[in-house]
Amino acid sequence: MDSFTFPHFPCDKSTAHFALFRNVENAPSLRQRIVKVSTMPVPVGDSGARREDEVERDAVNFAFIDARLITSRTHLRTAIHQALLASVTPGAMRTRGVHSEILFNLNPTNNITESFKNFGLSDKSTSLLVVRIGPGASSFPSAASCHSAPRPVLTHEQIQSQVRELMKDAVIGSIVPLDDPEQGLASVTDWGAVKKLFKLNTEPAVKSLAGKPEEEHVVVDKIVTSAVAMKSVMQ
Amino acid sequence: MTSATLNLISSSKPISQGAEAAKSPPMLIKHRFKKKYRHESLDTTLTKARVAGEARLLLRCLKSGVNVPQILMVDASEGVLGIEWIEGQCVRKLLPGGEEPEEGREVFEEAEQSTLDASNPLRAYRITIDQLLGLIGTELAKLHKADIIHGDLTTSNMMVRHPSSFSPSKESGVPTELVLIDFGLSFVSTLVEDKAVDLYVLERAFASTHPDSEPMFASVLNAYAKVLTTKEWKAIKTRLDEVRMRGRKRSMVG
Ligand SMILES: Nc1ncnc2c1ncn2[C@@H]1O[C@H](COP(=O)(O)OP(=O)(O)OP(=O)(O)O)[C@@H](O)[C@H]1O
Ligand SMILES: [Mg+2]
Repeated sequence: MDSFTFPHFPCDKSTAHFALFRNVENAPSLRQRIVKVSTMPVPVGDSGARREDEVERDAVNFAFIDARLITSRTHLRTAIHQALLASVTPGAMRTRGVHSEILFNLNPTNNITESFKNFGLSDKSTSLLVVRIGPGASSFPSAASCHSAPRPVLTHEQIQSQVRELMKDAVIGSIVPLDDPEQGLASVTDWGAVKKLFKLNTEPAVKSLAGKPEEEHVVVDKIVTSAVAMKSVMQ
Repeated sequence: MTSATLNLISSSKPISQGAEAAKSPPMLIKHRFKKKYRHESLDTTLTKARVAGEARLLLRCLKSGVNVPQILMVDASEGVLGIEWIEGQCVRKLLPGGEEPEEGREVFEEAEQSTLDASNPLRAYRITIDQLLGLIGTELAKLHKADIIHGDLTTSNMMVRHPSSFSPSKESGVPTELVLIDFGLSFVSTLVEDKAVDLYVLERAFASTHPDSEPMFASVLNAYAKVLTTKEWKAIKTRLDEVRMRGRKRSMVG
């Protein structure tokens, strides 16, 4: 289990817990659960939702990202940060929740359906980055909701292990450290697919590095990370 | 008034020293303050447009193989652009005559001052003045080949990466790279006129900042010409001469 902390956001969303799952075995059934939850009636007020619906909603309340299209830790961090930023900026959200906003931010175009298709879970997914936005210790008393929130009863480690259990309940696979030299993200990224999706094969920066994969990967990572960062002002 | 991004700015030191900082790249935050005296919604629109413009041009540069900082965050409504922190020095400080302290810049350079070799600041970068001028010309040619006009070319708006934070490719032969910054006034244009004016602006900046700048700027143009085709260079060179003439006439008239 790994996490990014963003202490400048309100405390209910100042941490992104995430894990890289490999050898995922239950993508099709997991995808069905997500589809089902997304078509459940949205609860109105406190009484609207059925208890088991809420449990199921929570059980799959993650961003499931196809890890083959993620190029670096910074790439992932940037997509999460920009999604959080949209969630605290009035009128900036393009999707229904902060988790789907991450997928939207990763996609090169503004087509929401396409962003789920490209970056989301598919029946064939075997490597997934699973992300849950949640509370953490915010250092800003001014940030909304931190005033009223009771002091955290759980430590970062306790929250983290709870989230880990939820993730392991949802995904059948093995958790691998993101930076693991053999099993980590570096062995998962499909650079050909990334270049194709972002239409980089004809760009001078990439063409000029043909035959030098290491240098090319650095450049491709810089381009896609920058594209994610500036998505909100993309033409 | 508070927003997540303003929190980030007010705390940027603590965050960058946090345990996680080692894993996330250092970021420079460029904040365009709102002008109090301007009409508020007009101001927001202008600020947004400038941040958006700078971000778009940076991305275009990256795709075109022009060395620029990578983008790490954009909050257009706050007028904030977050870009990769370039560990190094701006070209102005590395060329003769550029060392005069400028107001408001002390904060940036304080830390580096002590590590600089006072007699020849370029020594720490393991390149000669000629190599540096060559890097400038090459980078500007790549920029113009991609039809990007910088709009504010000065030796302050170019940086050299410190060799310690740069892993050179096998054949490049230099232990560093030149990085263009500050695309706040940049735009896209295929016009020879715009490219010539871009070069002229840099020529004037060289002349006003660095003594005996003529041979230096000639070296820049030399490297610039090498990247272009003969035809492309001829068109721009001819136009640059015209722009120089116009400049001279204007200054004679006053
Ligand atoms: N990515 C960076 N990494 C490190 N230092 C930087 C970076 N970008 C800018 N700087 C430093 O900050 C200075 C000002 O940056 P920049 O030119 O982008 O801003 P500006 O507000 O347009 O300034 P000005 O209009 O006065 O030139 C640069 O001259 C450089 O020394
Ligand atoms: Mg500047």
